[in-house]
Order: sequence, then C-alpha cells, then structure tokens
Amino acid sequence: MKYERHVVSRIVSELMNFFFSMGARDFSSHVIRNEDRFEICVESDYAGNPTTKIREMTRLLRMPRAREMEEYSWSLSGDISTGQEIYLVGIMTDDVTVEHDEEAGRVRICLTRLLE
Amino acid sequence: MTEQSGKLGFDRYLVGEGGKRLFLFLFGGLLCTVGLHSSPFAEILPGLKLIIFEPDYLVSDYFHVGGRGASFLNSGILTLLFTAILVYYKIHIRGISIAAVFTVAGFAFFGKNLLNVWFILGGVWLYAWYRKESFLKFIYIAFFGTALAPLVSQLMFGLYLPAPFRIAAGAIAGLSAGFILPSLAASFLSVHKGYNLYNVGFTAGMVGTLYVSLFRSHGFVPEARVLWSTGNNGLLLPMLLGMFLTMILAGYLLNGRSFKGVSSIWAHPGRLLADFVDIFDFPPTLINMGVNGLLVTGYLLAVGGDFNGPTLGGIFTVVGFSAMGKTPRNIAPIIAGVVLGSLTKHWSLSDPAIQLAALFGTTLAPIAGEFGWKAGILAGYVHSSVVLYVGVLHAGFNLYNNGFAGGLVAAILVPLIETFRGREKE
Repeated sequence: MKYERHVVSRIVSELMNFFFSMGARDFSSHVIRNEDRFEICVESDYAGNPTTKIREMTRLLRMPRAREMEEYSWSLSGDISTGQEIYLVGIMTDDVTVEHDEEAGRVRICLTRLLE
Repeated sequence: MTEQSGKLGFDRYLVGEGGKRLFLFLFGGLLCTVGLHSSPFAEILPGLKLIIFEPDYLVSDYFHVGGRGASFLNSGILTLLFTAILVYYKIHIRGISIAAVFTVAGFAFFGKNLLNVWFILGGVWLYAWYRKESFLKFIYIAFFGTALAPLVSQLMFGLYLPAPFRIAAGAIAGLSAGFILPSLAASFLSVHKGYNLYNVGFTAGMVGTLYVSLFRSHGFVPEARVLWSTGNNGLLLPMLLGMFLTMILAGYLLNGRSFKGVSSIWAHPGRLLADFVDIFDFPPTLINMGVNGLLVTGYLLAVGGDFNGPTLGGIFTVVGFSAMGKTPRNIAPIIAGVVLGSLTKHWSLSDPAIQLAALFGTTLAPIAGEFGWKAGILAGYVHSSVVLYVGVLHAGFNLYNNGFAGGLVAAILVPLIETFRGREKE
C-alpha cells in the first residue's frame, strides 16, 4: 500500500484516542519497521472499570485483516474515537496479542501489519 | 492477568461464506425472475436496448425508459455479475459487500446499466495496474464508483457528433473518472469523517462537478429532466413486503430462532465503517435489513409515494446499507427531519425529489446515531434543502446526488454539533 506509514501512524493514533477516552494518563507506543512488517506495541493504563469496553476492544482487534477494505477506509482511523473505530485497526492488522492486567489497571497490545 | 492472541477465523460465523454468497446470488436471481415475469419476453430485449442506448442522468426511471421487465432484468444481471466478481477475487462477504451489491442493484433501476458501469470499473482497474497493485484493493471504490456511469451514456448517446467520436468520448470520460476516483475517495472521507455513508457519492459529486464544468465551458449544456413512472405499486409493494418479511424470518431462523444481537446493532452509531456482518454476524444483520426495508417501504406508502425505479433504488440502497451503518434508530430521525421540512418549505413529501431525499438522505444516519435524534432531525431537515440545489453542479451525472449533498451537510454540521455539544469528557 502506498500510504503504509500513514496507516501505521493512524493505528497508533486510534489506540491512543481510545485509551485517552478511557481516562488514560500514561500511554506509550513502540513501533518497529522491518523489511516485511510493522510491529506496533502500545501500553496504557485506564481509569474506572472498563472491563466490558476492553473485552469489546479485544474482540474488534481480533477481526481478520481485510485488504479489500483498506483503500476505502484507512483514512477514517485515528480521527475520532467512539470505541467502534477499533474495528478499523483490527481489519488493518494481521496479528494481535492483548494482555490485560486488571489488578494493575494496565493493557498491553502488540499488533503486526505485514507488508506486501 | 488475561492474554488473548491471534485473529478470529471466519468459522466463528453462524452463516458461512457459501451462505452469504448464496444470499446475494438469490437476490440477483429474484430480480431476474421478477423481470422475466413482469413483461412479455418480446418487450424485454427492446427495453434493455433502450435502457442501454438512452442517456440516463438523474432522474431517468428505467421503468419509464425500457419497461419493468427490462429494468428488473438489467438490475438482476448486474447483481449476479458484481457478486460473481466478488467470488472471483475470493473476497469474504461482509457488510460492505452487501451494501455495494445492493447499491448497484438499486441504481440499476435508474442509471446503471449493462454497458455503462464497465468503463468506471475499467478506469479503477487501470489505476490498480498503474500502481502495480491488485484490483481487489480498490474493488469497493470501483463498485460504488459506478455512480458516475451516466457520464459514459450521456457522451456516447447524448452528443450530436459522429458515432466514433461519441463512443470514444464516453469511453475516455468513464475510464478517466474511474482512474481518478481511488485517489480521491480516501481523502474525501476526512471531509465528513465517515458521517456520510455514501462517501463515494460525495467524491463522485465532486468529480462530476469538475467534468460538467469542463463540458459547460466548451459549450455543452446538459438538459434537466425527470423521467418518473407511476402505477407500479400493485406489483412492487407485495414483492417488497414479501422480500423483507422473508429476510426477517430467515435471519431469525439462522440466528437459532432468536433476535440475539439485533439490539446491539441498533445501539451502534453506524458511522463508517460499521460493518455489521463482520462485527455482529450475518443473521442479526439480515433481520436489521428486513426491518429497515419495511420501515422505508411503510414510509413511502404513508406519504403517498410512487413505487418505481428510483424509489426502488432508494429502498434497496437503504436495505444494503443496513449491513453497514443503518439501523431503525438512526434512520428514523433523518426521515423525520425531511417530514418536518415539508411543514416549513414549499414542497410536498410526495414530490419525486423529496421522496428520494427521504430515502437516500439516510446517508446521514450516523449523525443521529452518534449525536442523538435531535441532531438527526436537524440533519434531515437541512439535507432536504441542500439536495435540491446541488444536482445542478454535476448535472445529474453523479447518481448519488444525496451522497454528494450528504457529504456537504455532514462536513458543515458535524463540527458545529461537536462544538455545541460541550467539552469533551476526559
């Protein structure tokens, strides 16, 4: 895709928006660009008890990649975050791991986006 | 500490890929069957010829141009062919696939035909070839981009020039419009931030405006026209009611004899890209499609509207986008806004343009879904004015005139609503 770096920056932006909307005060991201993939890891805290929201976020992040929808929709991500836009992150990535530490109130997400 | 990893498989769905493809093929087959039974066969082929060789900018009701049988057959064949393209590229059927195929089917009753759509698809294919990427990546832009198909027909069959020049002009215009659409579609999304569901309609409106401005400055003045048939309610009403009730029943049965998931769909704001099939599964989506179909059919009946090519197109587009963004909760306020407009403005709800504005104006459903019913009514009210006056810009060459108007309305209203909604919560 022509706009790979824009897509990856919007993925990070979308996740940052999402966690800020859940009261995050400590959000960090780490992106590695390899020959064949981007690896994106974010870690954040949150406020309150958003277990249901995090469960739904995890489900949406686990949606399979949809290359046929990317050109149509990639520019929507990272703009507004109502929670449902996480679906866009899901369909633009090939693999995901979500670690949720409820006691510490922190979430760590690692995403992989394969290049062509 | 909990950990979940890996992507979900397509096997999680209650209805597999085959079932969803079958649904689209059955829909196309039904349209063909209705076509073959609603006119004598001897009238259908000449009717198809008229549909293909007539300029078909807005509003050109194919029932009026070529008859009911030919119109249904035109729509059915295009539905089957576009579904076959999805199957050929091994694309998983999602909400956007259903929205795209139903939109093509709907507009094949008033503007898209067996000849003119391929030039737009060809232009997008050329763009993919130029970029050395698969056509698959641009397939939905190509499908929705067929909104500009009348550009091809108008130049091929509406100009007073020798045939080779006309045909070349139409082909070049269609191919070039398709070629530039993919670059523009993504960037125009950020104008309305996904609050206008017919995004390619907004893009196509801009492209159409550019082309028509060029044509006008070279002395070509397209004539406005409204070809609008009446007297089809007897055939279409039972067909539509039967189709939508069957969708609800099939969705209910496939859903394990339950309405589970439907309330979750109805709670969704619907902003692009709300793919209900992907997020909530096919059966509850099918129920949502049927319910919205009944809702807009009931509305049209209540206001004394005409069931014909354009309104059928509107109904099918609402039903298709009920797999990607539209719910009864977010379309009702938009329609209510149009109805409210009839109390203060100088038109009637049964005027052709207003019938279409109510149906296609639901492109703004995400505004109601996100900001509430009052914002939805305001959007519908404003849209019903804007849509009447922007068509002149593209001279009806963009079939998704409501998508064009909707994009303008959303681009202006959404930032204002966000401003007056108060401070963002932390």
